[in-house]
Amino acid sequence: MAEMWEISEALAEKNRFKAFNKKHPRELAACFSNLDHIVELLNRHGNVGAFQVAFFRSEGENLYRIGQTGVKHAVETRLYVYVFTVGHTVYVLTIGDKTQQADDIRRCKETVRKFERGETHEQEKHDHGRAGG
Amino acid sequence: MSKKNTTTAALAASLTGDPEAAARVAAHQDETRFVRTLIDMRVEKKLSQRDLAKKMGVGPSKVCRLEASCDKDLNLGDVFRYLKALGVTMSVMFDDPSLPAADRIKHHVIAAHGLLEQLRKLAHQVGGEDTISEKIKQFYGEVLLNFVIRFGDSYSKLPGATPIRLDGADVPPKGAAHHKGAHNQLSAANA
Repeated sequence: MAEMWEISEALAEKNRFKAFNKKHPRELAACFSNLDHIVELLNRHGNVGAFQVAFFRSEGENLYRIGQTGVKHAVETRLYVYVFTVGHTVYVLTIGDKTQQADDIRRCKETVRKFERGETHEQEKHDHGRAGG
Repeated sequence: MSKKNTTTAALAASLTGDPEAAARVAAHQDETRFVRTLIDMRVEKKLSQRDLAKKMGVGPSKVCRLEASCDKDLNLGDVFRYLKALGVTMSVMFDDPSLPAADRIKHHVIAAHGLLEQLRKLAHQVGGEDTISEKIKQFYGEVLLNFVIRFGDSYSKLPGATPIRLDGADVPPKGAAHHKGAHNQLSAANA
């Protein structure tokens, strides 16, 4: 049986989520609901290349953005996630609106690069887990 | 350990520090359940939005908008066109919660019977020796066993009812019944 995908908040910018939720709770909820759908699709199809869904877009370097759907008069929202294929884990990174996207993408890519270079505590734990298991 | 098997609703609540965020995520999931099923069927058929739009004879933005809707905003005509392009038919079952339970059960039994009849016809079309026909026969056994297990379980909980037992049958886990000729092993203690 294929390994199930997991979601992790280890690399998340928690303050951003708190602040965004205060301003746009419906959009945030829609993004997390869509994240659930993406994880379900990953579990069913194995990898991100196997499906194309409009609210799930690549920003390069395994960074993806998940948009809101089904919310009337919504603020265009992006939930940024890092899809770590080796570890079958979707890391939730940050959330923001369209006006902040360039800055959000730059920061998220830095986090992803640090993670992939093993400069984060999270990656160390993953490597230890592999060596031990 | 930071890697978790968590639900996205719980994760939203944890990251925002707002327990109500979880309820909002769950509500959104309820409101988009049908749209989600449509997307799943398209992905299952390995079609992109563009491919599907072409089959529907509309622009890709139409499919994009439909898949970004919530269920109550869907246009029935669009849904029919979407499903037709996927090669899927739709059967609608109306369930009136104000009707007596007995009427609702009858309604479901009739619907299940209709589907079983479709399978029987298919088995006749493909012929008795075919693998499909064999699988249909096997499936009939599974359906019967599952029905008796569930019916027996509910019946046994009725006041004053004699429990129904399946003598010699291994009761499979939920949804995993796989018994050839299982109906031969059934016996009701109160028969």
